Amino acid sequence: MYTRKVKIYAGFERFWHWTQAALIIFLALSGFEVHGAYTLFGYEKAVMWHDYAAWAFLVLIVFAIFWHITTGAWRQYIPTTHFIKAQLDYYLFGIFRNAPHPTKKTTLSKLNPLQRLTYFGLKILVIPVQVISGFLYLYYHQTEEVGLHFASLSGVAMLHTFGAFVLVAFIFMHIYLATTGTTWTSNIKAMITGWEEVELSMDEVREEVYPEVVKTSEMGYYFLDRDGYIRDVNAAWLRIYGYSSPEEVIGRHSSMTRKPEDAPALREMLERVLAGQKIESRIVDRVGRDGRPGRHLLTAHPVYISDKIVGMAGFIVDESKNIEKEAER
Amino acid sequence: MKKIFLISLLSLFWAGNLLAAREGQTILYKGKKELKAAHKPSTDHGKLKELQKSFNSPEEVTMACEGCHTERHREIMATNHWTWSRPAVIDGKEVDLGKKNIINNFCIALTSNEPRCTSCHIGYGWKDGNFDFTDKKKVDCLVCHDRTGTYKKFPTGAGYPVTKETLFMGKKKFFPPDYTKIAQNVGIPTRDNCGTCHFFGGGGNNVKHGDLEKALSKPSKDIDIHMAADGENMLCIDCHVTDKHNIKGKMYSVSSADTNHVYCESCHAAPVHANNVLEEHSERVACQTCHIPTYARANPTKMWWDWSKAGRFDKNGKGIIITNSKGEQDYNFMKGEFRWEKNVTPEYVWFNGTARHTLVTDTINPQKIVQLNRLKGSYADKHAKIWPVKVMRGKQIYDSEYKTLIIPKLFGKKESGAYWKNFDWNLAATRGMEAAGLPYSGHYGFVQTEMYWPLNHMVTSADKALTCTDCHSRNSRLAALTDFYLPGRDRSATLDMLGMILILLAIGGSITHGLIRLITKSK
Repeated sequence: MYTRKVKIYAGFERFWHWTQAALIIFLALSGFEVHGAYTLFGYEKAVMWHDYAAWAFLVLIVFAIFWHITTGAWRQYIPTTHFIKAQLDYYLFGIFRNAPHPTKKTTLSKLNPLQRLTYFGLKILVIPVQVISGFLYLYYHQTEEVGLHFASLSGVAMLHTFGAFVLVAFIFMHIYLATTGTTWTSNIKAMITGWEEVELSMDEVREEVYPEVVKTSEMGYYFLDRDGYIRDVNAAWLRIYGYSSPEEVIGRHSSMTRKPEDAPALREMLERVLAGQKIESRIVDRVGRDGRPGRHLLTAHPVYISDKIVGMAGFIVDESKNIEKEAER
Repeated sequence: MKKIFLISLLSLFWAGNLLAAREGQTILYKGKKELKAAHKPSTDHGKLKELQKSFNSPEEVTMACEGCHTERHREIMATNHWTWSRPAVIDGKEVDLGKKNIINNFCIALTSNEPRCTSCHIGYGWKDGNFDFTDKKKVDCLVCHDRTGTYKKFPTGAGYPVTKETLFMGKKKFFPPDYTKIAQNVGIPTRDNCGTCHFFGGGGNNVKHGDLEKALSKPSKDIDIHMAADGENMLCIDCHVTDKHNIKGKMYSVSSADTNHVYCESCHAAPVHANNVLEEHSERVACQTCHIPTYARANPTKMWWDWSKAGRFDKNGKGIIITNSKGEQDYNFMKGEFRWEKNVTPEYVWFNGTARHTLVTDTINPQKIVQLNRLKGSYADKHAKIWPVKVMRGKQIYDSEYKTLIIPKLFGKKESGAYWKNFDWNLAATRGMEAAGLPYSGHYGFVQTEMYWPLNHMVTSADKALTCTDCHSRNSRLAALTDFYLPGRDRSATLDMLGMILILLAIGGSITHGLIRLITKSK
């Protein structure tokens, strides 16, 4: 419903993704040559480079595991059964009717349930099986020296070959499904640049909208510190009071906004709020710029930072015009 | 974040480097200079008074040699070159193998054919079963130590040279040796000395081994990298190092135990390959397998000898000899049918250094091909390596009732019953088995036999060695070795098919899905 350009893939994540992609593709190309399927690099080079790539892949995996643990990104891959059917329905039917994605992509949840399940399977099963069978294959003779005994290489080789087929099939599916984002290319661009239009959760919408609401509201906004000094006001507040710039009021004491005889009432209100009370509404007489009088409706509530009341804030609505109208009546 | 990139990149680089090439191989032998010095005789035998005389017989030369080199005959008499016997324990019982006792599928056996066979014995006069192996006069020093190239033993002379000019088979002339000149020029054995016998085993050049032949007299690097006249120019004895006349090395055609070997590793110390994976191959693959890609590269070797076809004469009663366009005999009425091959791709076997032999006393199954010698080993045998072999095949006479191989009398005078004079197999079998002291039923047949000859010579330069795909491919040289999984050669057809189906489903599914998206003009 609401989207925002977000840095969805961190630098390392993209580096990891593309390096992994390149390594898997290279491992597949060289690996199937070793398997005898075709001639590409030349057998000796294919074997040698396959082994180098295997080691590079292992190092990458170590870094990726470290990154996933330290950033907590591993949580993205916890599989869930929620919306799996919805996601399947989407790929099978919804997508052809331009139906919306059934699950929303957010920075906290980048993967849809099917992706979670697939990638979880890859990370927990396929890749470990490939890495372990691969290194057993590579160090077949040495494994015998340390006492691991295989009747033949064939079991290890078959398992490794099977894993390779699964990974190649995955890559084709993965490349295709990468086109099913918001546009044909949006997912791919995101994995290159890191940025993507991402749907916002309502909390994220709030985070985005609330500051704007306060800034642009027609209600005046104010924030006083514990000592009653003005710390922040919005444009509407300045307009209601007749000021033209925040510099004219920020840092000054709030008593300047009242007639001297009303100042104790303001101080008493501040004390009540600092004690934790809220003022639902109150009509007060103000003193605007150059002593211009006026009347407005006011709300007030304590402002908490780290559980401590640091001041008082609230909104004001000008009542002067209403009063004038009433007087005319 | 940049730091992590950097560290990752560095790590990848490091991981790659870890596997980078090792140092080149270490060759223990120190090269031409050392060899050339060793090849020079330390004594000028021409200056020795004892040799400045004329000799009436080869025995006189031997006595002259032994006059200075006393007790050397004891060393000689302890060697297989003298005894032609190799006692070994086979399947628990002690048997005596060696040239004297073994059956092969060339000229079959020594017994009863001595004067012909023993032309290659380092002695004089082994013409029958009564040769005195303790007579030091009978040691032939010259066949190994002649450096003039003029000393020749006559092919049917029981080890003796001729005493007067003689024609062999009406073709080749043999001259009496100039013993004085030869004796004054003795030295260490050259390739030609060893080759006198070892190049011509089986009755002609390269007949037996396939990797030992007259081209090794002055080979090019393409024929043999070690012996190359324009290269290291190594002699046989540089590898077949000799201690008290016992020459290291032996052949599994005549012996069975894993002893007294020459190893490539004696000079080429591990690691010999820059590539770790290649180096690892040497655990299960003999050096010879890759470094002798083909044998009989200069001249053909005999691959098939069918004795059953022997004895054909044309209508004029003349023995038939068929020579092919390349000059090889395809048929000889005395010996039967031959097949020759040049540039032969070896066959490969698992070999753990021990062999089994079919002895003349063993019962055979004539329905099957009889393996006269069998190289032992398998993938499961951790001591076995893959070896290249020449497999000599043929048909030879056997006792169809007693189910044993037969030693036929081939060579001799007509009245001796020799096959080559009478062309009567029954008579030849009777006389041969009689001489061997073995029973013969009077019924013979011909059985197909095989003999395994591990290849060791004709090593090529490294760049001509086998490459990966000679074995690691669907049309592998090792197709016959099926007891292990060989990457590139082996696969599970079912698994590969399932895998391809999986990939095709992924591709097909994606294309179909994408097309529908295009057609329905959804995003």
